[in-house]
Amino acid sequence: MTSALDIPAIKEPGFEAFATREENAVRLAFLGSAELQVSELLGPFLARVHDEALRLGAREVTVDLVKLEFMNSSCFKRLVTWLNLLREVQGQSSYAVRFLSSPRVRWQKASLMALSCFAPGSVTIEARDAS
Amino acid sequence: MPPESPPGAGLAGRSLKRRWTLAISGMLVAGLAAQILLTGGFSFFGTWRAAMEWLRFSEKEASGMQEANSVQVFRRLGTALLRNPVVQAATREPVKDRLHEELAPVLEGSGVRWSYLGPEGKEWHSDGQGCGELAQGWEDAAGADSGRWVGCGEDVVLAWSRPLGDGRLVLWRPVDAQYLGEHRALADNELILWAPGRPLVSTLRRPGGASAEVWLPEDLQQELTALGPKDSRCGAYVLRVRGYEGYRGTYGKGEGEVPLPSYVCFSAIRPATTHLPHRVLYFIPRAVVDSSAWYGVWTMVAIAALVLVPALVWLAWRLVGNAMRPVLALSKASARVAQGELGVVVQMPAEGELAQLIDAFNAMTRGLEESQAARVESERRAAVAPLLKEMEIARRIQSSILPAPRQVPGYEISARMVPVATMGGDYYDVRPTPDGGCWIGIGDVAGHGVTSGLVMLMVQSGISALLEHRPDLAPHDVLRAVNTFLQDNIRERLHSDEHVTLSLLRFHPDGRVEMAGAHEDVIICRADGTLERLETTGTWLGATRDVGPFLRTSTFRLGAGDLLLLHTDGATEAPNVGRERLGLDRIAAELQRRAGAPATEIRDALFELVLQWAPQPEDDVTLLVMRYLGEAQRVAA
Repeated sequence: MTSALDIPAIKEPGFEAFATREENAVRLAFLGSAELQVSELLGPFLARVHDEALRLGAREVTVDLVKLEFMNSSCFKRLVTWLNLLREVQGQSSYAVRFLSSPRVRWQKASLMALSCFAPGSVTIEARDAS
Repeated sequence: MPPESPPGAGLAGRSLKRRWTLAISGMLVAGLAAQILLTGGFSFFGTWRAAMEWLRFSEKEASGMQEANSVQVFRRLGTALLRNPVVQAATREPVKDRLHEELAPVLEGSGVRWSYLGPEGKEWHSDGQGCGELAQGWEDAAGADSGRWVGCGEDVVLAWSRPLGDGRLVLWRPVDAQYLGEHRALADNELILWAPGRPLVSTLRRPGGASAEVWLPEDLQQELTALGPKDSRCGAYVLRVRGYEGYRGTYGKGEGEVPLPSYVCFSAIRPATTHLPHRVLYFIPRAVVDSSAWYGVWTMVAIAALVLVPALVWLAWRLVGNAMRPVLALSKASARVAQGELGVVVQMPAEGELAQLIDAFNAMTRGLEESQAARVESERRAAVAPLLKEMEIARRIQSSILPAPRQVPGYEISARMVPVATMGGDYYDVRPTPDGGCWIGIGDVAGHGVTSGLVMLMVQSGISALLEHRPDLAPHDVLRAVNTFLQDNIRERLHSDEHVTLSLLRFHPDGRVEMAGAHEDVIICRADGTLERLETTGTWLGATRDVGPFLRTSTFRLGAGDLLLLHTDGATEAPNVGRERLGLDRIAAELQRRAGAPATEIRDALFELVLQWAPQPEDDVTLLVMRYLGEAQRVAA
């Protein structure tokens, strides 16, 4: 059963981000191109995701980047901050983060690999076909 | 600044409200006057026309018209009076007073029922008895619209009738000595009403005689007696003007004319009955008739004034209002300027001097606004000057620690960084080693501005310090140590969230290269033109306490003539106007195409490529081009 979370979606020209709930998981989807100006919106969005995931006791947060063409380093900085928040959570209440990446988008592989180091054991990367 | 709108508040608003009030009042008054004009105008129009007709008639008379047809005169007078709604609405008594006549309505138009004032002047008779001649006279005149004189016994009655509704209106009065006496003064004549053979009424008085006696001098009586009637229906009459013998004459059918003073209207009433062949000379005071005519005239003038005055007031108010509107707008705009809103612009149609005044006002406010803006800008510059100076110092520090062109034996190196912010977040450094090789680091602090620049300085300082004392460390060890103090500085001391992408490369004299750290891919263009793309591994620095488990040093080798390109994402992610990224493939292709050129020339060509693709880069751009010249070249150097 899928239900909407209390997380306002981001709808900017060229970029969208929204969250849905999937049983014991939260699913995030990023689409388009995350430019510099998106970073100011992405920080509160991810912080809200973190809070909601903890409140709902989610076991996993899936981040679908398959349809994300570009992400500015400032936006990556928001992901780093989010993972640092996750790392500070201890015990049962923590959740795993699973990135779904597109093999055809070259930057995603190297950047996600670097990103995964900030929460080792909690972050996995999974390649998905865009179709 | 928003343009000044027409006045609508404060003084201007009150004025506008007052003007609207006046306008509405004026329109109400004008409407009322129009209503009066429409309802009463048609009735008054008849009065006006008759009055003007009478006045024109009088003018003709004054200019020498000797004959005055009594019937016409009376008809005109009667028309004027009877059409006058005031007369119509009045009781008999006011009409009587106005006309100096008795008044009797005669119903049914036939004279069967009629009224008249009795001899005592106190009661009305309405049974037709006692005045048969009068009734007969009306019967004779039935259907006519004329005046008459009739006799009633020994009384002589002057009467005039006119159809009125289903009956007739009769104006009448006895013609007696008093009557003639009244008109004698006006005519300056002695008046005699003469019946054949004897006088009926005369204004002449016997010396010492009674006032009631009808008396004529003997010679005059003989003269009148000799006249005789002209025919069976016409009696004779005589007007004897004392001292003016030439005015003596006769009146009646075919008789001649007698000039009379122009200020007296002369009416001759023709005889009505054969057995009373009297003649009467009837003088109507000019003032009586004129007053009636002028009454209509002045009534119309008053009505016109009632309509025109509000209309003129309203028109004047509109004209003044149109003229004042720009002035009020300027007044309001001036108040706004006084409150500090300097850029007020008045946009209002005006002509002449007002237009010039508005133009001058707008020019003044523009000047004030520009002056104010210049002053604010000057103050702002003065305020930020110290900060800008410090920023400039910081930028110089950052620039100065970037490596100057350094000669590394066996290598040709050319690098450049172009920051988009005052302080860039990009980092690169070239540090020769004692064995003839060198360290090269390249990285990027996530973000821009002062904080990024400071972090970049930390990276540069930390790496420099480490390599100065421990040039033997492996690249991943250097990065691990740098990460430790970066994480402490950034997370624990600055409480910030920056991180650094950084690759550190150790170039050995023999072309061997050790590399560690996650940054952008490294491009190698071999001497034979082959392109290779090396991925960097590991993780970013400054975000977590220990990155040791994730770092490893990889090795590759350069041959003589091989080109190596290091860059930051500001080059590969530079967007064009369509937001398309330049990409590493285009840069690598350009590197391959320019491979034979000196390193500096290649570097400049790559910068030109970036700037042509994105004339306004959104991120710092760093490019480092290195060519390995080979061991032989190094030894020779």
